[in-house]
Amino acid sequence: MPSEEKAPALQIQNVTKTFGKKTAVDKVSFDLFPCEVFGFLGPNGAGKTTIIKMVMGFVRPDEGTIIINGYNRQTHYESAMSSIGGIVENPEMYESLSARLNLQMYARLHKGVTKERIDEVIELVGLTERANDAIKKYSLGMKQRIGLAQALLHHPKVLILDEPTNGLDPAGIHQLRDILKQLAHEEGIAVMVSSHLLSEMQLMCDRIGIINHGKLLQICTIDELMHKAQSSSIYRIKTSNPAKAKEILSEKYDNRISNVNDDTLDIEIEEDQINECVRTLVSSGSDILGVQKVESSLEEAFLEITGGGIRIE
Amino acid sequence: MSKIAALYTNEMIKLSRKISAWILISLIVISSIAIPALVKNLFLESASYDMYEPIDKTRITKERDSVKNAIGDPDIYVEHQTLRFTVGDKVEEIFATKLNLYEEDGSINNYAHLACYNAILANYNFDRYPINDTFLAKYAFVEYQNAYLELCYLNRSFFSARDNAWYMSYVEATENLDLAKKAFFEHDFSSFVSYLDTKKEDTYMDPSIIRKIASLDPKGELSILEAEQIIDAIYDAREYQHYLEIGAEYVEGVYIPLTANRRTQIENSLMILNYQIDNTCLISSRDQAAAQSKQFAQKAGRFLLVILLIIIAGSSISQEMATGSIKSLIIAPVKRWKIFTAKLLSLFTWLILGSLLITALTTLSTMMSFGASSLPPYYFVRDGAIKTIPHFLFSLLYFLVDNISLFVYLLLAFMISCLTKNTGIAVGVSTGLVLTSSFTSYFEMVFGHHRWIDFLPFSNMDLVSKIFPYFSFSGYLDSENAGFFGIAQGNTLPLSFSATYLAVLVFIILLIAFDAFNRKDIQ
Repeated sequence: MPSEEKAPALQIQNVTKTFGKKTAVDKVSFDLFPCEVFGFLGPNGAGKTTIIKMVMGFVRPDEGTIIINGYNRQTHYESAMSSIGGIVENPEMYESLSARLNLQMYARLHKGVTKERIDEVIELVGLTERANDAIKKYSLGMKQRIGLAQALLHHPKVLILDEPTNGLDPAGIHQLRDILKQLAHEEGIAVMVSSHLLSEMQLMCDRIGIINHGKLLQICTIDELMHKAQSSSIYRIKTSNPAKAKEILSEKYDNRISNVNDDTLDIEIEEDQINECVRTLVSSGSDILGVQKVESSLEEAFLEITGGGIRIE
Repeated sequence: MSKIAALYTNEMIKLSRKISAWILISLIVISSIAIPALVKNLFLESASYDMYEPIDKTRITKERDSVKNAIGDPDIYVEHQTLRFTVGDKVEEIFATKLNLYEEDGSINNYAHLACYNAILANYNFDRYPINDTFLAKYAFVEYQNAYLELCYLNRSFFSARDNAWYMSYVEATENLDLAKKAFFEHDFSSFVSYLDTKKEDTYMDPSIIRKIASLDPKGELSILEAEQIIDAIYDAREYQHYLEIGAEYVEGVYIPLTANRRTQIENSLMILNYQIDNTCLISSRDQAAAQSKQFAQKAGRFLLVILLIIIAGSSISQEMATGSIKSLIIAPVKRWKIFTAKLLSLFTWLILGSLLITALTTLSTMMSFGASSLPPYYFVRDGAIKTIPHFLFSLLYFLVDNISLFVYLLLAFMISCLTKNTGIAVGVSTGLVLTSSFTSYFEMVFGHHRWIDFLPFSNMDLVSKIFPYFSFSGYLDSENAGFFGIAQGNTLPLSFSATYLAVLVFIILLIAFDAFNRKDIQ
């Protein structure tokens, strides 16, 4: 859980990046604290990877400051970068070299990584037997694992993983989840994970930041998100003339109506509003063939937030 | 610094694991070793330097009879090497044969003439008389032949035609014949030398040269070829002296006034030449063959090295970008300029190691083929004294300076690799430039001399003739500069100009490459 007493391990302040005319990341600010797993959630192309690339030094921000473990990345690049480890997009290494040699080469660029530490991380990701094989013989899942081993090699304070479950089998995903939780909660590492799959986030994250179109829309704990999902629901009203019904309802619930079909329309309202809504329709002469509560889930809460249904100021 | 060292180590590990690198290195090794041996055994089998080889006397005896018949037959080409040991005391017999030939078709068959001449000469040297005597004998022989033929003619003329002039000629020919005979058969040269002194104008033989050789070789240890080389060198030295005296040099049919720079160069060349003459360390034809086949092997090795290094330079960044392995460098806590520097350093290391490998192997192979003594040092003049650089060091430096253009192309490939992130373009463009760069030396021929030509990169790539102007005294060929019709491209530009130009060029290339690598985002 985020603990406000602790100093943030990663601070992102007003970071902006534009590619040509397109603003990929727009004034994003947030902090990442030790001992938490932070989920970075957003549809494809939302700007998740760009933010991660900026944090990892691949892309230079146009504006804003990135502070890692108290070091400003701009002024103390190497100190800042030595506290961070991660995988961006896919883990890429030197394909023709063995995993162990790859790790040895990477270890050379850090201070104080021993030979034992290399064995330790290889064991952690369960690749001890395949460590001397060339990377090109690895499956995507194994590459993810060795990528994680590389990211953890130098005891980073901040661990950033971009879509880490890609290519992993269910057992592997489960294992990764456990490793990440353990790293955060027991070893005090600040872990940031990006994904477009909410269900995955639900299981491993303490906090979630939702991003779309380059803007950070909301940061909340999983519990808060669940609460939001439960408090308002979508009801599907079956009527012979949904277009007319929409007209009637739009006076009051203008932007909450969606999915107008031949015989149904969806409306998003609180539970106690359903009576009033039906009454309005009936009194205006629409016939109601049925009202059904569409099961609300985290996915929809997420879609609501990112889809513009709810604006969070 | 330690980060750069670590990155550098990683770069070297990565490069050493490239299969393409090892294939090219093995090609370099093979060509460096094989070429000098091949040149020696295929192309120089019958070259003149093998007169140095020990004489096979059984072979001589075997061939004696067949050669004797050959002399009588003008249509048979007689190699002087086989003939030279066979004539012995049949000198006059040969003269008679020559005379018969002359009378039959009005001209003496050139091969037969050459064969006879060299045969007698070589035969004379068979037991190694002092070399000056050998030379005197050579001229005595020519005089002997001339007088003999003259007498034959005179004897055949009609009695009625024998006037006072005939008589004078007859007496002179008889005297000359005796003199030459005495010198040739009895090795009594004293009167022959004074005879040559009186005839200085009409003879090709300058007795002062004979005396010079005598002073250099009192014990008669030089071979005929060595002595002939000294004679050539003395003539060359006289020519240099002449240039210095008239203040102009003779180049391709015209006299060109000497510049101050060129004058110093000729003065130094003269000093080196005189030093080589006095110390009998002139470049023999064997040394020249050795140096040139070595140079040829180095060029072949260099070509392979160019390919290897351009591939390394051109892929060094773009390939990492393409495969994504650059990520593990960017994630590491190292600034980008350090990555850039480490990559450049590893490239530079491969250039030096490749050059060392090629130079070492070609030197070794040449020594094995031509003999350890066949590779002379580099001579130059500093503060009015002759200095030398040992051959291997000179050879390596020459190779490196000769490859400055290669270094520029490598940086270019590296720059394109940084800019376009495309290995194909980087390798293709650089290889293309390497292959076409030799044609650019014709710019001056096509466009005439313009100032802008001096500012082309190609006009400034050739530093080797500026840094090692006296390479020919070590048997090296100026192959780069000897363009079509012998136009020496870039030679007119002073070293300081070319060096500054290249420094600026390299700096700009590095700056562009660094900027591209440092500033660009990695996607």
